[in-house]
Amino acid sequence: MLSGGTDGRARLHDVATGKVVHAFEEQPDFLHAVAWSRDGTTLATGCDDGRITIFDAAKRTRLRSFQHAAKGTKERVVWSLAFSRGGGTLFAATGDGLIRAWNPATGRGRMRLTGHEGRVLCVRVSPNGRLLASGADDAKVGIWDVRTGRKRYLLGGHAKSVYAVAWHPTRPLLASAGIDGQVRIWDTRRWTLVQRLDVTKNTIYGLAFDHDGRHLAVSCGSGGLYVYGPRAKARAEASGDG
Amino acid sequence: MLLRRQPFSWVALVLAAFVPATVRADDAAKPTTKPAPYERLHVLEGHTSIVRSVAFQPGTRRLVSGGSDRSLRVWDAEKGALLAELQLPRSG
Repeated sequence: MLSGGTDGRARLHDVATGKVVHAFEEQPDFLHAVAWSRDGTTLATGCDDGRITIFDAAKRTRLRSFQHAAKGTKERVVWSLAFSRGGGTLFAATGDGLIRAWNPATGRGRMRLTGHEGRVLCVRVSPNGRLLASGADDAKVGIWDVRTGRKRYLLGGHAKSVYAVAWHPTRPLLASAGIDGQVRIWDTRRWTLVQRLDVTKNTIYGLAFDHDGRHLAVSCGSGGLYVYGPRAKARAEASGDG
Repeated sequence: MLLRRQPFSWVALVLAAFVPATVRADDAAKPTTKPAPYERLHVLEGHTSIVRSVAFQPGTRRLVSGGSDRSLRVWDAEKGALLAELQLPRSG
């Protein structure tokens, strides 16, 4: 498990005990974003000063760093990072309304995804690797083509900034949440709203499905942390099938 | 190393992420049954400030949360029970 924090260090932890296994080279500013490549060989950290650093996860060495904006540029915070399925592209949600894509092996920019306004706060690649979902200050959920970077949809409905998105691992569902305290679950075939959960009066910061989507974890302000699951009826049907 | 200012509590954050589980290439293309609506199963109490990030350990019901209280907590999502807790150091 990887963590990153305000001290500018990313750390590897043992999941069972939480103990720190390795602390990576310190970065000059807060870390807002950490990400693993899908094969687990590479990890990336995103910094308040716009710097993205790529580490070799096995050797635990820094491979390269690159800056997405010139020094002094406002809103250059890297809010979220996501590797493409094959690891050939690294997407970064940045404070100036863009999603930037790099080749993490060279540090060369690949494309800029435009369409959001305000900060882009989260990015996640779909389980099949084809789509990227994003959330931003404009209260929209963005859906993008991973290969071309083209905008596919901007989903409206949230009242305020969208802080978290999560793809269901096996079903065509996408969850989104943010300042309005609601989780919206979208059908990713028709891009319609399937369910709205009124979770909290606080901001929702994090969403995560487990490996089969049985559980959806929702993390919020004021220490709020919740686990959601299928309704009792659906659970009974599911166990009956199995 | 540059010594940083003491972070404000609202910017303090801890992010947790896991190595993504290996998923077969055709998994996402499988025909799907109708979506199951979700309902609240557990309230996990313990964090004292913003819970910035959550992630499941691949293939398990083990959930890790990271918060502005500088703690990482490991939970059993099925039972709603706390398994482990780690306090991160205040400065790097």
